Amino acid sequence: MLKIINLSKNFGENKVLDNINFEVPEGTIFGLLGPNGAGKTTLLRIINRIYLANEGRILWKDIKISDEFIAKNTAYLPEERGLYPKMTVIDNIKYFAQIRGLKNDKNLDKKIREFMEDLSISDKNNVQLQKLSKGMQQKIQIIASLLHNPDLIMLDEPFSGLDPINSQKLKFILKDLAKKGKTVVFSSHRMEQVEELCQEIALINKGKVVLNGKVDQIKEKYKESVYYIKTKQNIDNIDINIKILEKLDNSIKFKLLENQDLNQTLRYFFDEYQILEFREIFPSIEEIFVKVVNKK
Amino acid sequence: MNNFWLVFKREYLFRIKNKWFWITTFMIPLGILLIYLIPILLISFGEQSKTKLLLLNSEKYLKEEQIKPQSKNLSVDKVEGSLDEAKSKVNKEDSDINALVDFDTINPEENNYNVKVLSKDTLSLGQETDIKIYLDSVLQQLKLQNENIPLDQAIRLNTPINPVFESLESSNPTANQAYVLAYGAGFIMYFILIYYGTNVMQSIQEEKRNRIVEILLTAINPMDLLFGKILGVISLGVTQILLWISFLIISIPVLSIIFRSEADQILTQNTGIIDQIKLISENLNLITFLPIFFIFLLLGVILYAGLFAIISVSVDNEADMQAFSGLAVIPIVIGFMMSLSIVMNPNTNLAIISSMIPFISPLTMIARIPFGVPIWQIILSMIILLISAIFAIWIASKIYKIGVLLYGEKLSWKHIKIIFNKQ
Repeated sequence: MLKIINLSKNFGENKVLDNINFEVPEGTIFGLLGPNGAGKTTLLRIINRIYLANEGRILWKDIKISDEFIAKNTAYLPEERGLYPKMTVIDNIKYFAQIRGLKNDKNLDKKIREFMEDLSISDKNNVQLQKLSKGMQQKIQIIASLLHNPDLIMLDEPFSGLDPINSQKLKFILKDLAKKGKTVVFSSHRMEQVEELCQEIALINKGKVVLNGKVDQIKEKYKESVYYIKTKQNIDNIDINIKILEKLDNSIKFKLLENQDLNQTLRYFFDEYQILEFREIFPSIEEIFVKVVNKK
Repeated sequence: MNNFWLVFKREYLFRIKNKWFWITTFMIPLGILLIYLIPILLISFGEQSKTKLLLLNSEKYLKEEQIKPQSKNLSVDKVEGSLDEAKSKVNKEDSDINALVDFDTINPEENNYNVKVLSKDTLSLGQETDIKIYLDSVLQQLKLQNENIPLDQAIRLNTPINPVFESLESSNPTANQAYVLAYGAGFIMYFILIYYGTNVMQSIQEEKRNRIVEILLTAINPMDLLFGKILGVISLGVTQILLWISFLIISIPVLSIIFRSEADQILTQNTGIIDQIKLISENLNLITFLPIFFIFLLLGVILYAGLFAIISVSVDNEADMQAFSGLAVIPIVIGFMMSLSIVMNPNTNLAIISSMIPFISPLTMIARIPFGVPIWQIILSMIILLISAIFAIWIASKIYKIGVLLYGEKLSWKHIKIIFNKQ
């Protein structure tokens, strides 16, 4: 488990991170969410020991993380592609694998070949990196970062600039890594991507964690008694006091009023219409975020 | 340490595989050769401007055989009469006379030989020099005649004297040889300091721009990263110098066979320069000079690489980088200018002090070495330079980690305070 405890960071007088606390269970995908400038990149850089924190601790399996741990057991993909554009694909991959300690690994060539085949880019070995598309470059960077088999993988805004197809491929790769027991932490300001990918999240705003926990539990906590009903007949007049959020011919999205009984409302609909679908609507992470931030 | 070698290897191999390395390796010596050869070739083969003089009232002082010019670029005509008549002759439209020499302005009896030359248009520097040499010779003869020396003796006595300077010890060069050596070494030093300093700067800037440095810093210590990079670039420089020396050794005999007749012509016409180069290689103890030159070069490159690295990590865009690197080049230019003055007066207090100042000592000390410098001064200068170079790299590595990660803002005193208090 990755534990961030009471972490603060100042740049001069400016407090960039303020008493950050959260835990990331092993083998999960963890989303670090927040608007631009919230402090996500700084936090990832601190975890990677590129910056040092002014206060607080970072533990991995209850041991304070060290430079050696970062070099050997983690992978970090910054937002922009951190590769040499004029070097060939294979030279880039080998160089980054070697600085992560694979200098004398006799199986390095074999590992690279397997990775490249998995990502369908085995024919790009000797192509200069700058001649490849952004999605392709990201694949190369993933290979270069994962060859040393790290336990903790950190990605800063990995979906920015990727087209839908490559975004899907990246999601698949991250899910696969989590399945293999790897811990994935990634930052994003696009919250809808996180919902389908992460088991847990931390929402950061202005350097503070405003929300943290399992995605379903957060949604449960912030649900607002909003329901959806689809009927066989057209819905005409509604003789019950509810807050209608959206109404189409044969569907309705509504919110219960304070202290209103759900069963009573449902009974009304069952009596009046033939019900095809009923479900509770949970707020999106984005809606929760806006709500929490506005409240604070 | 392991990663230091990886950084060093990547920097060296990547750059040596780059086509620009090979283009500059071939083009730079060619450029330097052209800088030296073009003026020589222009003088040797180029057309020189002819000058025609009109001597006014020279007959009362000089006979026909005395006024005949030695230079083939000069021709003279005589005229007797007033200055106005002579002027109108010169100013005639079809006149090919460039200048009028008025002998009425001299008075040998009162020892006044300040002859006046009136030109039709502005004369070129070459024409002025030709006229000056000609009149100097003619008037010297006149002076001798005035001292009652017969004409034939006056002509014979008026020949230039060229003393031959040689040192008592064969390992010491003459002032002229030392000048040529100091100038040449300074030129190479000047070029290399700028070229490799900016190379280090560009390399850091590239990693900063592509965010590569963020990944590198998770695996490599900043000192290893910076030193690996600087030594990689320096090793590339050493490779380049060795290649140039090899080209020189191979190309001179080859070129002299191909261009034998042209080379002979140049050699006979420019024996002065060729002799000096030959004498330097024979007289000067290159076994002593070269290692000192290389040590100063190496320390100088490390110092400037550190300085350029500081600039590179402190700014975030190309325009600022160019502006600041322009400032960093100023000490190199000052050092080069000072070295040109030092070769004239190598042992003045100013020369000694300037050869101890780290940013200019690689140039100023090298300019003094051929003239003989006490060993303690050389060692002291090296130690100061070494300490400064290490200090520059230390400062660069201190600000490297925070400086390279500043995107969209410049390194400020606020950041420097943070770096040196606690990062």
